[in-house]
Parts: sequence; C-alpha cells; structure tokens
Amino acid sequence: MLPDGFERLDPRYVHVQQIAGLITAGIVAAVALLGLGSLGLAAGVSWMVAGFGVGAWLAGSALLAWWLWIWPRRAYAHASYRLDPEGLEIRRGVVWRRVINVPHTRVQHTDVSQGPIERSHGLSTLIVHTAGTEHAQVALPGLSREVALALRDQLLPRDGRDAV
Amino acid sequence: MAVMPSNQRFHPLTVLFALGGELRNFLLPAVFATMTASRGNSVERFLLVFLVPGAIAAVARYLSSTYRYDPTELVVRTGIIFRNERHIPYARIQSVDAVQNVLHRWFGVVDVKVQTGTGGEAEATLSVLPFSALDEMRQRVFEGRPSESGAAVLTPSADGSAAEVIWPAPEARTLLHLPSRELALAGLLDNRGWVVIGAASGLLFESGVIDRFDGWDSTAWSLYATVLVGLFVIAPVLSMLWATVRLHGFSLTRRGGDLLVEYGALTRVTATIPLRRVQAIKILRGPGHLWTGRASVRVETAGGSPTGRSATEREWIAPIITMADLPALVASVLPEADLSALEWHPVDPRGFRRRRNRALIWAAVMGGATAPWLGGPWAAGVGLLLALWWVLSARLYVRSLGWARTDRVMAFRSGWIRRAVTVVPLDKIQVVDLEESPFDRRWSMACLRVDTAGAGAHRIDIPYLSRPIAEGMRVALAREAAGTTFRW
Repeated sequence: MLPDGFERLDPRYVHVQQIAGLITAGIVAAVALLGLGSLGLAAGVSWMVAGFGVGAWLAGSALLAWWLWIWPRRAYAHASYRLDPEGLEIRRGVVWRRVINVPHTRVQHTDVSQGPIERSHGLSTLIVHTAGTEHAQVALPGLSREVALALRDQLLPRDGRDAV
Repeated sequence: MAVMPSNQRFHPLTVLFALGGELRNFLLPAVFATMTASRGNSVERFLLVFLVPGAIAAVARYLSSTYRYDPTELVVRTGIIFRNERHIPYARIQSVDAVQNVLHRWFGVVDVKVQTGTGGEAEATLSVLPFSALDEMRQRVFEGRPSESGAAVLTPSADGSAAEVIWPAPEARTLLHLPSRELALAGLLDNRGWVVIGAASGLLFESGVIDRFDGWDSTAWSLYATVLVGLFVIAPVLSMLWATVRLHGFSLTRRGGDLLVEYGALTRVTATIPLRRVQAIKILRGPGHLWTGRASVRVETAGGSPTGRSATEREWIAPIITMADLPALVASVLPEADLSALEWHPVDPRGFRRRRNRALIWAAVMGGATAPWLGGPWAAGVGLLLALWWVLSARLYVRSLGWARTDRVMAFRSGWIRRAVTVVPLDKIQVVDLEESPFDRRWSMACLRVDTAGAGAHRIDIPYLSRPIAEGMRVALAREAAGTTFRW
C-alpha cells in the first residue's frame, strides 16, 4: 500500500495515457508503412519478401500498441504524490525510480494545463515552477481538475509577501 | 524623488559601434566578394547595399533608445515601429557588467549589460554609454535596493569589520589581486593554447594554404616531428600570453554586499556580483593545480545557462589561487562555508565493485570485439590493459567521491584527474531529487541530486549512496529548504 499521506493519481489517467499511446502507435505504424512501402516499391521486391515485410510490420505495430497499452497501468502503480506543510513530494518511475521534493518556499508560480485528451476526461496537469535549473518546472500530470486546482491554491505563496 | 526622472540617450558613438558591429558581420562576405569579384566596383556596390541600410538602422536605433532611472526601477525604451519599454526593478538586478575594448577605452565609452535572474541574454544591453554614466548607474541601482542594507547587516564579514553594516558608501576590501606571474601560471594550467592553434589551423585549411602541400610525404617525417614538438612548446606559451593579456590586473574586491571583479589589458571587464545572489561556489583543480598547489574558484549566480556553460566568464572569482589563501577567500564570499569545518563522508564502498564489474564486462567485450583483427593473444592483451586501466580509474574515481553537510551548507566533491568541489548554502536549494536505477535497486543504493538556481558544470549529484543515507539526506535537505526563505 501507499506510504503515509501519499495520494495516487486519478485512475482515469491510465485511460488517457492508453489513448495517447494508441495514437502514438498509429502514427509510428503509418510512418513505418509509408517508409517500408516506398522502399519495397522502389527496390521491386518479390511477393515473398513483401509478404514477410507486411507480416513484420503487423507484428511490430501490434507489439508497440500492446506495450503502450499495458505500460500506463504499471506506471500508474508506481506514481504517487504528497502535499504536506513542507512542500510537494512526487514519486514516479517503474524502472528508473525518482523522488522529487519541491519545498513550499521555493514555488515561484504554478500552472494548471489541460491537453485535449485530458480535457475530455476532466483531468489536468499541475506544473510547479521553481528557480532551479534542471527542475525549473516540475510537472505532475494525471490529476482531476478539482484536485489540481486545490493543489495549486495550496501551493501558492501563503504569506502574500514577495519572497524574492 | 522630487525631480521628474528624465530620459537619457546613449552615447552618440553608439551609432559608430553599431556600425562597426555590422561591418564585422559583413567583413567575411566582403572579403569573399573581393576575392571573387573581377572588378573593384562590385565590392563597393556590395558594401553600399549592406552598409547604407545598416547605418540608417543604427542612427534610428540610437535616436529611439533611451533609459531613465525611476525611483525603484530602471526603464529602457527601444524600438521605432514596435516600441518596447522595459522596466527592471533595481531589487531584481543581479549584476551590472561593463566591458571596454580598446576602442571603447579610446573614446571613453563603455558597454553595459544589466542582468536579472532569468537565463540567457542580458535583460538590458546599453551599448554604448559614456564612462561617467556607468558610475551613475551603479550608484542608482545599488542605492535603489532597499533590502540591500539589511542584507549587508545579515552577512557578517570574515574579519567582522564594521564597514560591512554601513550602506551606502561601503568600504572596498581587496580579496585577491593577481600578478602577471600567477596569471601566466593560470594560463599554463588552463592550456587554452590548443584552442588558438586549432582555430589557426582551421583558418589555414579554409584559406587553402594546406592544399599546396602535395599530400603526406613519408620522407619528411622529421619535419612533421619538429612541427609537432613545436606545437607542444608553442601551445603553452600561447596559453600563458593569452591569459596574461586577457586577465591582466585581475582583482577581486568586496564592497559592501557586492563582489567586484576587474580584469583585462585590451578589453577591460568590470563586473559586480551581489553576494546574496551567489547560489554555489565551486573549487576546481586539474593535475597542474595539484602539482603547483593551486586551485581555481568560481561562483554560480542565478541565470546560468542550463547547458552547463555560463554565458559570460564573470563568475570566475579566482582564475588561480594558492591553497593557502583559498579558505580565506571562500569565507569572505560565503561566510557559512568554512572549508576546514567540512567533514567529508565517502560514498558507499560497494560503488567500486559496481564500477569494477562494469569495467570488466566492457573490457571483455572490447577484447572479444578486436579478436578477429588482432588475433587471440593480442586481443587478450588489449582486454587486459583496458581492464587494468578501467579498474584503476574506477577505484580512484569512487574514492574521490564525497559529500559533507553542515547546518548551513551542502558540499559534494568528485573527480580524480580534475577535482571539483561544489558548496551550496542550504537556503539556495531549490529542488531535491532522489534517483534509483535498476542497478541502484539491486545494490540498494541511490543517487541524490540537489538543484539550485545557478547549476553549472559540476552540480550536486551524488552517486553510489547507500539507500538509507540518501533517503535520510533527501528528507533532511527538503525540510531544511522548506524552513528557509529563498532570496534571489
């Protein structure tokens, strides 16, 4: 189970990523088909080679789509976040695991953004901007819009004084 | 302010320098045109076509660019068709840099760059202003910072002198002044001469001189050897000369809450770095530095480019310094960073085993890959040599890694050929980040990273930490950062 105080992302995020994955797989497959097809036509390959190529293309596309379909579920299981008085802590990563701490006092400003697929599922991405270099912005995707807005309000500078 | 602030123009010579810049851009095409043109007048036409619009644009830009000092901000207006008015609050100004090349000095003008915390380009480039305007700008900008006096009180100086609390009109204290001998040594240790030789050979190649040689003449090996040896002698000499000229009269001064860096024989650079803007201090030592007991020191300010290379070299606060003087310099720049008080902890010793295993696998792969060409015994020799070297360097590298934490700073050191130490005040930490690769998890280790507003080439990125230590440090550093207010 999750450690103390940690929240999971919105379960709908899995579906959003699966749709995005299918679209990606579709584009990659189309580009590959175009490339392989024109190559085959230009070289004038035999029917057997062409059949083999089509088979390989089908298998590759299916494998990619399958992988992009199952991966979001695994990623979801490994992603969580916690907002406490000290700041925001984000954990993610299946193979390469990461824990990112953004102290409350280091938040410069925040964005809540929505892509088209996210919007259709009522999800948002929270982006926290810091003065850092590598982590100049830390994104937390997969939040329901209400949660994202609530997190944003809690992350805004509390005392209203300009810390800079 | 009772008097209404008035807009000021740049120095009239702005036009000339803008034109000069334009000319330099077109110099190469112009030379090319000269070489390819059959008659001279085409060159004149070429210059006319490009220079006349350039001149008109330069005059228009000069006439439309003004700046003024408002009570709390610097206002720079530019543009004719698309007018732009930029307001830069004094409190946000990171530095006021001034560059004077030979021509600037001849005419008594100066190129001024005003920078705030955003990365990349300077916020305002005032090119060129009369020299007297620079002093005025410094005064206005630094007086206009209401919080500065507070900051000056808060940062006690190393020797606790009372001059630090008085603002404005603080006393200047020279922290470092480098004689030519030290600068030559710095040049030798940097060894930038190869860059010059590389550029020169590139130029020779471009101009076609190289083409006159009829290929590689195997009988002339002694000539080639002489040239090669000559290069090895010339490169260091060039480096030394270059450093002595470029950094001539290098001085680092502390005035109130600011560091003042000045150097240059031909191009004179004057830079100010507000001390509270210092995000990290870095001490770098190459093999030559170890041999001669020297180090070079730089500071990172906010707005360094994320690629690791800084846009300017103004952050070098000491191109070279003896190890004996180093602690005092660091203490006067970052009082909380007492180098002698740092207690260095090694990383997990199992890190060596991980690196060694990787080295052995790679050596075997290399040996196997070269076997078809070299034959068994020789390939085995190659593999063995590589294994020896890689294992040795793994040992030295892991041993060089270390971290230290006091209640005010976090420090990280790495490298055995080129050693680097980075010290970051805890209140400058932006984001703390723990990473575990699959290999890390197998060994129960982790990598801890600390992000600051001015991360340069060497940042706090500690590999091979045992997991509990890394985890504890992550929690502690995040808590420490959350408990302090970040001030640019």
